[in-house]
Amino acid sequence: MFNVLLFEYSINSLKRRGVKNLFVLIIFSLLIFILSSIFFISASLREELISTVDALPDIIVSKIKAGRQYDIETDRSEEILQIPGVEDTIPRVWGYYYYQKAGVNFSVVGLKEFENNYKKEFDKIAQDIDFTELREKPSMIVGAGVKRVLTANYYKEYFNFVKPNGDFQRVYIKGVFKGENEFETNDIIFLDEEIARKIFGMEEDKATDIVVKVANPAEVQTIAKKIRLLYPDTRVITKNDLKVSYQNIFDYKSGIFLALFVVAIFTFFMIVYDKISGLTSEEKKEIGILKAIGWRIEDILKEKFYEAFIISITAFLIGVTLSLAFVYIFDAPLIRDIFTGYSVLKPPFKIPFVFDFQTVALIFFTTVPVYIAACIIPSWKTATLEADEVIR
Amino acid sequence: MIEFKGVTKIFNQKTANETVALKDISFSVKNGECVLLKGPSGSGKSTILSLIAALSKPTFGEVIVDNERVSKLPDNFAALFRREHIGFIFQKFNLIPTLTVSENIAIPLLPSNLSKKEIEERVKKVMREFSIEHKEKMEVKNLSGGEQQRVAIARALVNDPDIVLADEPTANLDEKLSENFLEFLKKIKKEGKTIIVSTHDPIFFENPLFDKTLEILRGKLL
Repeated sequence: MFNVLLFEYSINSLKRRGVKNLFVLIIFSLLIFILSSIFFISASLREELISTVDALPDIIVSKIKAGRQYDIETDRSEEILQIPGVEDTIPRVWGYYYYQKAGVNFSVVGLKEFENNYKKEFDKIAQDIDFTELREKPSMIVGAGVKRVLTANYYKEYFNFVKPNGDFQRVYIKGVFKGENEFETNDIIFLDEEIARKIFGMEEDKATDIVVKVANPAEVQTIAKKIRLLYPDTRVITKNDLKVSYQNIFDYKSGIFLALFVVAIFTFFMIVYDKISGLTSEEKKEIGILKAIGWRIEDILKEKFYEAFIISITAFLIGVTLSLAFVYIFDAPLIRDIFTGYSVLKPPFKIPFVFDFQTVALIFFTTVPVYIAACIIPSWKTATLEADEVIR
Repeated sequence: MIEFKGVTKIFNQKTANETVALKDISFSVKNGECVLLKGPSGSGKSTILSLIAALSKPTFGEVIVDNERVSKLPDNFAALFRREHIGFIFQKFNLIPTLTVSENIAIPLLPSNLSKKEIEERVKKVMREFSIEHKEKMEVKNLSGGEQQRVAIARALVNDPDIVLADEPTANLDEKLSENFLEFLKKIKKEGKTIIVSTHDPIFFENPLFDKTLEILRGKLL
């Protein structure tokens, strides 16, 4: 039963050993903060990874010559479409444009007016664009990061692309695109496909690659095999291959987090070890006095439980709250870079909010009860001795 | 009534440091009696008080207080017995130095089911009795030896015990404070409490306050 007077005594006892307890509270909060941040970021990025992978095409076919990628003939898309099970094929015109002055790569994507684009999101953009206007006065819709770089380099209204033959291709900035996933769209430039071809010097009957949509996911591997047989000079990548590749990168970077996690756990158990290895002579004597003047073992343990509970629950709440703020309000500065890498055009990536109750419960149950037990066990050991022995 | 029946207490039994503190001791103290337990240091006086307060258990024999075999009480019952019946004044006071005067005095009452108000009243009452209420908010580590002793006595009496045990109560006090302590004993004797004082301080010897004197030497009653 809760005893408010014992609880007050516990608070008083914590205050009496204020410096020591404050130190434990700070370290404990810091550990909870690190653990929670690791779990929160991992959970959020895993969620982001899943949504990114889900949006990938079923199959991508690109032409390979001497181990390098070359433009692929667009009429191959018609032949691939004949393979049973293929729902649609879309030749893509896209590529990277290196803007030397700023030292950044833009992702240039050509959109089509009357045909399906390989992403629904792009179709949505295409619907809002007046393609005739784009062609008459070559214009582009750019990602927020591209706009920022161009403005910083005094290209406020247009940008001069340098074509492979050295000529300039002036393209006006018609608008700024802000997609749901800034990770993907920050460095993107959308143009009419014809303009994109001009910038890349790509012929009319060529494309960067061909995206294949498959109606039944179970048939993806079979269709990929058939495409490989049909065109031995192509590299056929399935969504699953990309998924494995993404996962490998995620797992590799998770390893760095794992190291942080191990350090945090190790430090926590150092504190626990210190607690469990014994009480100070002052603490032992206090237990002896309490027993000698009529406190039962359960009264002493109750008081010690309150002390440990106050410290651990406060540290837990501080740690988790700070961690939520750090990850979801401040976007985990420094730690985020481990996953997102560094580049000039790094998108202003917002870590998606994923509150995994199970994760929070896991952190709670692996820290708070362990700490409480580590505090109570040595007190119990002392309290079960004869009071006379402890006082002497 | 306090009864010792053939009590032997051996510390560190069956080890190289085995020490026989008491050897086959038997005596009794009636309720309301004031008893002087005298003997040199290390003779076993403190051990007798510890056994009465059920702070330790005899190796052989029995300690009976008001028909209760306190030497056989399980730990939690022994604690309850102390809370309800014993007021122990320790030689080194055994106060918690970083707590205030009133907090130290209130400690024995905290686990009981008394209300906060009732505890405060009881603490104030004993502080008034021992003239330490003006030091209520002071940490005991900042008090003089005499003041600390008054806090220790107040703490021993706050639960209104039937038996008061005082272990070398004047060992750390000057003559005047020792005389004050004798006055205190007179006062509580009038209240009908059973008192046992263990000491080797001559100020207590031949004092008419004591109904009985038990002399102990090397663990044996003389």
